[in-house]
Amino acid sequence: MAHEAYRDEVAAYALGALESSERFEVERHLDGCKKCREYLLWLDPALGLLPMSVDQLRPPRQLKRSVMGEVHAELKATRKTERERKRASRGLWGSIWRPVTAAAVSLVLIAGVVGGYALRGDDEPPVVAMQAFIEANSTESGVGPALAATLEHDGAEGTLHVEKMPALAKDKVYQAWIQRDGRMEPSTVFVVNSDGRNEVAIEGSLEGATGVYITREPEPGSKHPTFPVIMRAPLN
Amino acid sequence: MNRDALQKLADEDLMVLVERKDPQAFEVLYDRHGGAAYSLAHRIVGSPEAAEDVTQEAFLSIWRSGARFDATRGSVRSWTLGVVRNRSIDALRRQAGKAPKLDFDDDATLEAQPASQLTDSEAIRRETASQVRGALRNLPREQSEVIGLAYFGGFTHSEIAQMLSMPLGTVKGRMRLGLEKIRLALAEGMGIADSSGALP
Repeated sequence: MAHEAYRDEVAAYALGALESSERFEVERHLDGCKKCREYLLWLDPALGLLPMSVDQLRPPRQLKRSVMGEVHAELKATRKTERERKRASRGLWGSIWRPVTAAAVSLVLIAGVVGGYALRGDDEPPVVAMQAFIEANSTESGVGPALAATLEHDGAEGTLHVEKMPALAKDKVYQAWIQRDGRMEPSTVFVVNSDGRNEVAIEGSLEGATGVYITREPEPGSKHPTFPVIMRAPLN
Repeated sequence: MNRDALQKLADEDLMVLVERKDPQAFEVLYDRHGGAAYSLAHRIVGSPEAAEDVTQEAFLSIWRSGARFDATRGSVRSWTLGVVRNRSIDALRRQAGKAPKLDFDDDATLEAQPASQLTDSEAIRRETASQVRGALRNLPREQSEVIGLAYFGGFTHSEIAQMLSMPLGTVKGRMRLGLEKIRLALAEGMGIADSSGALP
């Protein structure tokens, strides 16, 4: 598609008016097209103006107190969990949490984040740090010990916050899977931005799910995992 | 870094600190954009309570995943308000039977503080809102309509095409033309500090 034609897509993308598969396509195009990224940036002030067209209200004071209260509570919980994790990894008990290399499978753990610990208090929807597995001989660019993602879920709905994942070849995508009753149900297909990040909603309910997994799959995704798991988040 | 120093930082520099989980930097970010965020949320979801919930969820989402901001895609402000807008649309859809307000010309009956009680920044925001509405009224109706349905209503271009019984290409073209007109009008008349007024 010529750049002029892509401008319509980019404008619709900027307004949030694309279907998810179309958004995915435009994001991939933007990753590789400087002209379209410049056009999107050029449109940005216009986007910034739309919210300013509504009546401007003063937010209630308790809103800021609530937001900052949560922020400080999460920081405190994260620091506490980090201290406990370090303490655990120093002892024998820590070996339970350190994933081991299994000769029978091709997965080798290079970087592990202690999987499944909640980053928030009991009353709030949990955020689960995902545990990373990397193939020993992966040829994907940028593979290293730096995979990072979290799964935020609220009963049935979940959101994946991908923070560090390598870009894939053009014919591959990441795919999320919901494990339920011993089966892996296909969920959201996604790619990452040029900085290895993305936020994607998990398609499908997480009610009764025992885990969320991520694999690499051939585009446009698979009905069953065809590649080993690279990240997982156990759910209770 | 103390609060005074943080307040002098550009949004993009604040976001670097937010990514590193600096709560003071995050608080400054909230102070800068919280008012616009709450106002946008209120416009879409229609109630103060729902607007408060949505705004809180949006900012906490930003706190938890500030690493998702990509400067090559737009400004921190647009991105932040985009998160608020998306959460607001989701909340609206969860409210059974609630249709989004489709009037682009906002004349909602909201509690308004008398001008004498506004802070300087609030007064500036109000004045800006009035100017922006004036500028948007100058858009051809068919362009403002599709932009309003998309941005404030959360409809996709396919849904808009169906609602308005027009081809998909027409809808997208009008979105683009409308946004470009707003952008060019900004460069001409609203004093935006940007040398690249022309289309790239």
